[in-house]
Amino acid sequence: MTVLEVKKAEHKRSTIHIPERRELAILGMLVLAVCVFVFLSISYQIIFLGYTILSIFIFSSYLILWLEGAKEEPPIPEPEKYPHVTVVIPSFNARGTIFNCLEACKKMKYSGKFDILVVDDGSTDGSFDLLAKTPGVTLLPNKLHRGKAAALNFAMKHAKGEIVACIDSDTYPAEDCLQKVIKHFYEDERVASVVVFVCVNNPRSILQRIQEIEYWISFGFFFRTIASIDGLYVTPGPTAFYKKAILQKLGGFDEQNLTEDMEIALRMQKNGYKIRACHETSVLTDVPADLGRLFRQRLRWYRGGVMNILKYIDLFFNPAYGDFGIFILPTTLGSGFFAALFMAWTLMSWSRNFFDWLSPFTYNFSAGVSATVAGLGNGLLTFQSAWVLGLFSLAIWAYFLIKSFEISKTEPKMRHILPLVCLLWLYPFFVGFVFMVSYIYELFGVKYTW
Amino acid sequence: MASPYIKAGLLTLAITLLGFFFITQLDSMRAGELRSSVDELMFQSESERMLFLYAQTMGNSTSELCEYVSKTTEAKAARAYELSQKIQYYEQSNIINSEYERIKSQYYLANAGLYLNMRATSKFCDSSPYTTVLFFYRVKLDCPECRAQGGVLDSLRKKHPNLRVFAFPNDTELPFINVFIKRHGIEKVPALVIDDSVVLQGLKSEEEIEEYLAAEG
Repeated sequence: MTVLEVKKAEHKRSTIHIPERRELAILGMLVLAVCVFVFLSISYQIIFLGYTILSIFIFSSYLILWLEGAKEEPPIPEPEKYPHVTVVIPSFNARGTIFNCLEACKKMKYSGKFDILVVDDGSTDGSFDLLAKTPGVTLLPNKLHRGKAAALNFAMKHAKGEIVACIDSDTYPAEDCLQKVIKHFYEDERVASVVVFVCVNNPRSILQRIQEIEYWISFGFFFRTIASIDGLYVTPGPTAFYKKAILQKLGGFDEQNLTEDMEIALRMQKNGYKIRACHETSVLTDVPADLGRLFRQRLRWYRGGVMNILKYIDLFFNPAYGDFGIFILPTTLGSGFFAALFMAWTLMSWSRNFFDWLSPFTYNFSAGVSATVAGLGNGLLTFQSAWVLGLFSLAIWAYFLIKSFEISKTEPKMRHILPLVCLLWLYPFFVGFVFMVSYIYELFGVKYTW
Repeated sequence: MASPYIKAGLLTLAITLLGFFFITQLDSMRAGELRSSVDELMFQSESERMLFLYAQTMGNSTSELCEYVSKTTEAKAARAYELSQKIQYYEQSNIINSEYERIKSQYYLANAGLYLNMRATSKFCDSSPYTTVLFFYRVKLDCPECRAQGGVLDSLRKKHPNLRVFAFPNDTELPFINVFIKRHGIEKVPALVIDDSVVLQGLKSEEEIEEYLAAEG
């Protein structure tokens, strides 16, 4: 038995971005200052109105793109030969999930040849020894824990397949996953990666059920629409397929990046490669069950997003990159910036209202209660006119939702109502809040701990 | 074929226009409701004044007048204060607020009329059950203490049904409000004037106000 000497490798944040793009950071600050000034001088209603009209435009664009292209997926011809595929699973202390993942992988049916390669990234939970005894799996030990990107790069050197399927150790692919995905590589020789429909595995807590619907919408409706104009900006970590030769030509994954799955996708786009999406099959992945974990996960995603926006800012609004540069990047990654600003303003406005609402309580509690109860009855009084447009944008979103249910082949049921309500009314505040925190963290260069 | 983004732009324009159609309806509905409430208040204040004028001119006994005025004022003065809150809420909820300055000026005028009628009642009639409170606040600059004071007054009004609050902003250019401010030497807001005699400046708690109310009552 191999005795592993496990040391924790030092994680260094990528330092290239802000110093190299100082003038850009200054420009960003100026834009921010102007936004804050504008925000302070006009009412919240107007901000809300502006934000809603912008979202209606973005939603309308997705609606048109869906109706004109993504709605019908053209049949993909079967390839002449099915290439060798290596399934790469990076594993770090994944004792609880990796064996189920391996089982699902082994069950996959595929007309060509495929093998499974597990990279142990310096696990300390004893999973290495168990994996060493597992048949049908090639185990690659990585003595130091160096992070997922490094583990994947290490695996690339040993992978035999022409195509590599990177699957997280807490992700479970469907039986037909390989068979359905591989043919997409032969649609066009510039296809460097194919992503699949990522769904939530066994959602139990309300938070997981919210994420279940969120994943259907994001990886279902939006990914399919974005892929229809070759605009995918991320090859999701849970499962993505890559053409090994292209991945190696591009230099592999960026080991310093917080979201290496987004970075590689942006690098592929920048170099003129294509990323396709396959919705004929799906993978299930475990998602955070509590708010703390979800917060940490999203913080990493969004901070990675900010980092990659800075790294690939030259792609934004760049007509050379077509729909991807002009529309997809600004409305997906860029809109996070507006979400953060909008959130900051909403929180400010809310806190003011909160203290107003609280003030009678500090003098006389029962008077405060009765005033609040009376206030709740004033429906028309408190229905702000700007919300009318919000309702319209909600109507378009509802259409996306219906289509996402169709893509996921799920019948909408009563049990979806509560998570949906939360997704609509509470989740945006959470997401906006994390966006805001990640911008603040990135602005002040708070160190990221894995 | 037109670019999908142009189509999306046109769709956005159509949706926004439709949205604004509904917004205009909603806004004017709210403004209309306020207008009629203020008109009603105005009529009330005018008709009371007419009665005082009648009594003075014709030399009638004031007892009939007192009875009539106290009955009508009872309902109106309470509603007038609530209307000020409603105006504020509606103004915040509306997008199209072109009429609001006029509605507000008229409201303050009617409110001032009601206040004076009420003071006149307590002067001419032997016993008036009401205690009047003038409440000055600020609108142009944010004033959290004023909002807190409003909350305190709401609670006091519930405890003391004979309390009549008349609220006025201290930073509008309406001449009749400035006369009130000068008369009582108001320098900072929130400020309260109880029964035209006690002047309290700065945020006051319920207990503090109640002390003065007891002394007055």
